[in-house]
Amino acid sequence: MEDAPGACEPRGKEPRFQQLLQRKPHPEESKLLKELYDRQLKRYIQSPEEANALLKVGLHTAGREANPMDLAAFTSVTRALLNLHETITRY
Amino acid sequence: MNEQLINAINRRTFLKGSSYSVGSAALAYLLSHETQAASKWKGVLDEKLHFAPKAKRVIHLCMAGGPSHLETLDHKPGLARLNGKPMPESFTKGQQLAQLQGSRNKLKCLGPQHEFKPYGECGRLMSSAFPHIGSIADDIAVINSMSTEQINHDPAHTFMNTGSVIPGRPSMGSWLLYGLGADTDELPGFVVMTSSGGGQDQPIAARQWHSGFLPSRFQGVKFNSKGDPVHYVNNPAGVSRDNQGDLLNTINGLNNLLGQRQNDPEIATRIAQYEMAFKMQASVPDLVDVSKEPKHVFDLYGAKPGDGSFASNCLVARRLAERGVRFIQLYHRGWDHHGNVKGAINTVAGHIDKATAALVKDLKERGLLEDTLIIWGGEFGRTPMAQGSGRDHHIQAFSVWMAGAGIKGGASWGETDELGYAVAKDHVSVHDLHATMLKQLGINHERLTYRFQGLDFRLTGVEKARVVEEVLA
Repeated sequence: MEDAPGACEPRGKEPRFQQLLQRKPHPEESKLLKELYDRQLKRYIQSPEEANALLKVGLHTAGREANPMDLAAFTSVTRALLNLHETITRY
Repeated sequence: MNEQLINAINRRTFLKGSSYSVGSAALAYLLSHETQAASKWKGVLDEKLHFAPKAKRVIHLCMAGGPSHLETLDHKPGLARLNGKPMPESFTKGQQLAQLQGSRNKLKCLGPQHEFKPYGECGRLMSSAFPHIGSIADDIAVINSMSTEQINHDPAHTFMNTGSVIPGRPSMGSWLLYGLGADTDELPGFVVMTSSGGGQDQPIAARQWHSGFLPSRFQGVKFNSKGDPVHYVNNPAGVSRDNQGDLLNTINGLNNLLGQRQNDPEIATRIAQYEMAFKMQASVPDLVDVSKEPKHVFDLYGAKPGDGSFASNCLVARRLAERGVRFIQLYHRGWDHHGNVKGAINTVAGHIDKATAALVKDLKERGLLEDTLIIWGGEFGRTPMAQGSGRDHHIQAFSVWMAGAGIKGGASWGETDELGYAVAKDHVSVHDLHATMLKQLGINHERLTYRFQGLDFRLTGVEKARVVEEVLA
């Protein structure tokens, strides 16, 4: 996919929750995702080499404009979203 | 409508406020659905077993395709005497046959294609094509009087696995997980592996290890027999185990929020399975790390780990048994011998004979055989009548053996008629076999039930089933 969901999001925006789940997140969902993002960002800032290693996974090459730590943290958030029961199972 | 889909709030109110007698185990089970599936499932019987258990776990060696009882465990000199002669019509008249249906006038006997020899102290006559299984003759109890209801592979497997020919009932491994839980929460409690070789490789569908109307967390999990048993066990580069755990916690938290809005029991299963998957990222590498296995073990099984063979699966089965997996099912798809039964038996023996015996011996050496029940057998037998150089599917008679866990080694039970066509004495139904298995696990088969669509279902069905006490020590 040219425009994979959540592949690259500018920092501070909702990841593509709407695109994946066709609804807005509930506040408690936003909170959990935001907290995940914050923790992940902290981890990747502490070990940028891990961030770079993660961004080398897969066929899509990260753009140079992206901050690797930020992008790695967003990758984690996106992995969470893609693996939700609601994403996999439509109601 | 499924009981689990009743409005969660109503159900909670009912369960907590009801003065009616709801079994405490069932109550605990239903309430566990309300909160988190994640806690370890101890089983509805939760150590309140009906009998003192002999078996803690079961290894079902499913010889898929329909092994000929006449070339394995059922010695029929009478059939040898009629080799090439017409099959007496008194046997077959009005009977259901499979591919031989319609050619009844030309039905001919095919004598046993392999010599039978006495094995062990018990001196039981067994096919010389399986000398290694012969070498454990004193450890196994043979039942020669099985019959089934289905003449084609898939429905016959369904019957053997679920006690019903109608798809959608829980398989025996799922019943055991529901009743007993497992002695591990690091690996699935019900693991399936498959191998092939020796005959037409008839397909095996995942519905054979389905949980049916039981919650889906009790379904069997199929491991790959070739290469890594589970794909993608390792995290991607740049993702540490901590990191992955953080991610999983968030996913489960979000799924839990969804579970509060949607009355979908599959959400509980999803949460439990993700937790299991995370644990398996640690437990599976340990499971498959056979570097500490001594050479004599590989020699015993004739196994090259991860090569997809039955032998490799047997070694993994032992390692699963050691790790507390409740029900391990190995299918070997290689027994559908419509043609050249003589040669095909030799080929399939090359795949399974040595490893089967090795598994029994290895478990015995490790003190695990005494609480591991081994069941060896297929979904039906094969005709005494020739189908060219082979034999057709046959439901009226087949043989199985059991070993370990309170089984009387060296015992034999049940007889077929002189041609091995039908059960002549001491019939054992598939339900009887299930009842016997459950007994060894400490379960009265009439008392492990699950209410679905207004009926209390059980593995052994409605008709009376009988524990085959004669094969128990």
